[in-house]
Amino acid sequence: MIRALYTSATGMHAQETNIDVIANNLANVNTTGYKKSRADFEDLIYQYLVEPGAPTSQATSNASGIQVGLGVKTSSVQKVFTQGDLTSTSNQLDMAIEGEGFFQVTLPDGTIAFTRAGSLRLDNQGQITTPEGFIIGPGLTVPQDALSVSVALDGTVSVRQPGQTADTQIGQLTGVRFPNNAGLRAIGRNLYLETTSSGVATQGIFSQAGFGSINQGFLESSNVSIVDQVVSMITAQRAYEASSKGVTTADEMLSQAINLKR
Amino acid sequence: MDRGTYSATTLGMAKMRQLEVVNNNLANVNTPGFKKQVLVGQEQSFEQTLARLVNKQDPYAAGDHARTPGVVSLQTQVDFTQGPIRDTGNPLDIALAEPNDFFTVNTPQGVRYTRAGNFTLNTEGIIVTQEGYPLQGDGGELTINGTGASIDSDGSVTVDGIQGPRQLIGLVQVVRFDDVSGLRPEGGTRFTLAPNAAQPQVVQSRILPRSLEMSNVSAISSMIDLVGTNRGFEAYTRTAQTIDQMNQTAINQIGKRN
Repeated sequence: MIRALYTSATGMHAQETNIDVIANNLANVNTTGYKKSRADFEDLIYQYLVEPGAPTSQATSNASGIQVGLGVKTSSVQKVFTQGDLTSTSNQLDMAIEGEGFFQVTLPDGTIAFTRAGSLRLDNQGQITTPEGFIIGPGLTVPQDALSVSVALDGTVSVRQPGQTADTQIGQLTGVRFPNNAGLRAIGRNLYLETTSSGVATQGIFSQAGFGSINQGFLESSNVSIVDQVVSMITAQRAYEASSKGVTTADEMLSQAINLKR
Repeated sequence: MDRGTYSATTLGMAKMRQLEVVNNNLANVNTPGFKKQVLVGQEQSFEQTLARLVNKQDPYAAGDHARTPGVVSLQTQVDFTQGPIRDTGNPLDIALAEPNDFFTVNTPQGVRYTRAGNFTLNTEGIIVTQEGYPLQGDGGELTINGTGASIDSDGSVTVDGIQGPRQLIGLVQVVRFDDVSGLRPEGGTRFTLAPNAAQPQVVQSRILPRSLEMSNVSAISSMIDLVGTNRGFEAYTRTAQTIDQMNQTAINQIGKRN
């Protein structure tokens, strides 16, 4: 009986995690390059009160026994790397990756991180950085006198300087891919770190060998669909409610049992 | 004491057990690949009771398994009906289209079966369950050694080619059970096969890519089960109280000395 109480509590706990994840997704519905997370659940172990095949007479046996499950647990919370919509911004340093791949970002402590948020900036030295000022790989510097910057589909960055009739190439943005995107560690600020589960980063050229292409003047919006998340939120809330009813029912039955003795 | 007390108690105990089962179903209403459980109880029928009387046996005697009239020989059964399919867009999520089909996973304890298709990759790039047990392919484990992995509706696992067409890694093994009653849940949305049950057949079956089979627990029917359990338990408490009152009357009123 007390078992039933705890079983329902695991259900409420799991749905709480689910709501936490959904709330974070909804909060990031307008975050550039954000990838939604998903909580996955699995059932807990089963307690065999009567073993399957336990004899009920000399000739017959209990076919399936009595297996009482002990509830649910959150097995994982993973990122889902589907493509977000591309929105036109007309800003020459906004870049969206259409397809697979990440930009490489060097953090101030030297760590290499990865991002798909392409709202890039120039720092005071003219280096191409993230909005936080982290340098985008391989580290390209736009000359101070550049009139315009253009980025090709393969990530080649060129600038037009005064008095010139043609663009000058200043370098190419590094594309990075992983065998398992879902295994990346999200560290906030739209950044991800490589983990043993994501596999080793493969550097490559955008628009080639499975890499996505760079779209200048576009941003990849969050891949969170409000409708989808709200539906998930409703199911999570109802699941929470259902488990809470399990708790009240267990409580009522216990109280009835206790009240047998008047 | 009266037999009635004990038969009412078996009902009460059964309802308590049922609550545990229903609450476990409700806790797993959002668990991918979860299969709900039902508690099946058999009551000693009128015919059985009559047969005992005809045979000049005590109708309520503790025979083979009829301990007291009421609910006897409880057992839980897994309901393997198909759960709803949810499109997730995740390339490593796969769902099975046929209700008797299962994925095979290798655990340290041996082969297990699951319908939870939310797979991921481990550090070596092997396709594993969320708990890290490898998914069985046609030639053993499926190791992703490239980028852009996806699983198609025929179960073929492919990755991007270095230059040119996509490379085939292997096929996801799908097994089919003629009789699913030999499967026992062991947690982690996995099932283990009873020792003497028939082995499944490896089949070519349809896989729904980028989808997950959700729990087959219906919140509505589970809530009805919950109400039924509660009221059933109430019926037990009322019966027990009535018997108690009758005993009280017998002891205190009939046996009263004037």
